[in-house]
Amino acid sequence: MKPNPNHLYTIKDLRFSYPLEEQRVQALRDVTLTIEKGEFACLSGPSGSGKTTLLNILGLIESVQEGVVFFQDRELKALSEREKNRIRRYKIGFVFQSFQLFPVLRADENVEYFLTRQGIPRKERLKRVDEALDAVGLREHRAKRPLEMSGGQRQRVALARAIAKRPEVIIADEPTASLDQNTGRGIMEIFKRMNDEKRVTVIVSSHDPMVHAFAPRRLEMKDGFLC
Amino acid sequence: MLIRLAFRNLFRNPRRTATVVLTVAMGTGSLFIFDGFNAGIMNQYRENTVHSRYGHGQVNTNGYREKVFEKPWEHWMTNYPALQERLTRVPGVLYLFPRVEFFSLLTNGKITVSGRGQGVDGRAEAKFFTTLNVVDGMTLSDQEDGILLGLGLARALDTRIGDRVTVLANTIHGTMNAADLTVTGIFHTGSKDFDDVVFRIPLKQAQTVLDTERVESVAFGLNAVEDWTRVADVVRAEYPDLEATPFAVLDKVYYQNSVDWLGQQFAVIQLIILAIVLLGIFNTVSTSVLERKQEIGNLRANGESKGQIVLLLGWEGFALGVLGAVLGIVIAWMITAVFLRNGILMPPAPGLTRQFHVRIELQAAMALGSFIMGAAAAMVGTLLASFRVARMPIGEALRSI
Ligand SMILES: Nc1ncnc2c1ncn2[C@@H]1O[C@H](COP(=O)(O)OP(=O)(O)OP(=O)(O)O)[C@@H](O)[C@H]1O
Ligand SMILES: [Mg+2]
Repeated sequence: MKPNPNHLYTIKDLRFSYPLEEQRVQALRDVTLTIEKGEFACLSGPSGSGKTTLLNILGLIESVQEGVVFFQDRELKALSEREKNRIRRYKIGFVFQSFQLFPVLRADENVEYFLTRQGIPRKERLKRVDEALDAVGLREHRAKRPLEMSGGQRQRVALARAIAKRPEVIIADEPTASLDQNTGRGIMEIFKRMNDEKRVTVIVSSHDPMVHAFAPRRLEMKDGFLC
Repeated sequence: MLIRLAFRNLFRNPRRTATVVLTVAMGTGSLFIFDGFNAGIMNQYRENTVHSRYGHGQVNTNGYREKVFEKPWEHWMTNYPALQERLTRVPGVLYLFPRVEFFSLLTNGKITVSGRGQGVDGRAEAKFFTTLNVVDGMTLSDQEDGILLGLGLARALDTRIGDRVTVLANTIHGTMNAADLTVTGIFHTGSKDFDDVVFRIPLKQAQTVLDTERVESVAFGLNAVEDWTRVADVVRAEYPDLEATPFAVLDKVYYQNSVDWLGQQFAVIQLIILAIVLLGIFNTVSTSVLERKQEIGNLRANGESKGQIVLLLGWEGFALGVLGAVLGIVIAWMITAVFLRNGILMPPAPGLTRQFHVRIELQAAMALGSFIMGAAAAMVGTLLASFRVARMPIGEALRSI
């Protein structure tokens, strides 16, 4: 099987189960799907339908058990831990429901952190930090620590951190679930703008119809199936 | 940046950081004080040993100590004055103590007991052998016809200070000879075998009774223990038929064995302190690291390898360890300087009868040693704790609360 070079993800017959006591819980059943570069897709579906599991596999957080997943032209199953770490470091940006900021670093330092780890020189790093903070409208709050910011501001820092990496894809699992509607909408507008202007591929998951409305492509899940 | 994050992480929970730092400080401080105490005991014990019987070492003819001779005086050293002249010139030599030992009878006119006589240079020995425990009267020094009795002997003869005692012994030619002496003092070393038979008289008296100019052995009072090697070198180089033996070998039964035994005990206690520190740190760091599973999951999701996670946490452990160890050494030093200035009162050491003060002898090398051990324990504790979280699957780490 050779993946189409325009596709960011090529997924065929993906199955995934979690061990639970003596049994296994089937979280994904025969998922087949392609995601193209520059797409903005939203996973929806009831609780327990497998959204997080799928995103985690796409983000190289969980490994592929059965089936085939290509990231660009690389099959995930065949990758060494080292190669996976490279992809995680350079090609994937995460936004989590619970923000996951470093509490001891300031907003701009949070954004800068993974850039340092990418080996980007300081000047370029600072430029990207400024750009990313501008993009999320947090320039004047750059010196604040996470605990000094509101939930929406924190999620915007997390978003800036993901954007600054200039990844191939931003994976966001329920990015608005801990925020109120208006704040959540603000976050989604930034996702939308990044996708429109910078052609960043975005994959989000959400229960919220407000979020679904932002995504041109909607992927509905149920019991581990893609409908 | 990794180091900056590690460093900043130290301030995220000041209480816990303080706990870890104090744990390390306590451990390091205890090790340091304990080391100093240990050195104090060893030194005190060594000084006691040196100043009680043997001096820093002794010279006698080759093989003399190992064998029993029918006529031991045939193997004693001749021409002591020349030997004395040469050995006094060795740097570090303060005193020479020529000695002879002989078997004899002691009598007060009514009772006769047997004993082991030591002919010694009373004046020189009195200045150096300060830990000899004289319980009555005074030690032998200038008195030409003085005799110092072991407590057991004195009791057997029922003598008091100033009483006359007669020493009866064979000359080296086999005839009987006698000396009338006055009791100057009674000593008590605590070793019954010794106190029951040994008495001391001036060397001149002993040589007269034995009718010889020879000297059985020469003990040394040195400036410092380290000076012994020079004495041994001179003897080896210039007196092929003599041998020099350090006090640790002479007093092997008491000194060397006690030192080895104490050393072993100290090592075990040290190990226990280290283990406690290690466990304490492992515990505290473990809880703090486990609370950060999500953060570590996020780092891993963004491409940090397991090794880099361990490194990050390792830096934190390193900083905590260094901080705690320095603090511990400063505190230990202050406690010693303020509260333990006079040392610690100890019960009598093996072979001695008096209590003594042990000074805590803190040395730079010990500070370094304790510092390294304390800091290393903190590092190891942190690393052990971090291996566990670093190995966790990323998904699981992120899901944890
Ligand atoms: N760590 C786990 N151990 C066991 N079972 C799990 C685990 N994580 C998820 N599951 C199960 O796998 C299935 C899919 O879970 P998943 O978290 O992917 O759903 P989801 O669509 O993200 O749900 P939600 O909307 O509640 O976040 C569910 O049945 C869930 O109970
Ligand atoms: Mg979910």
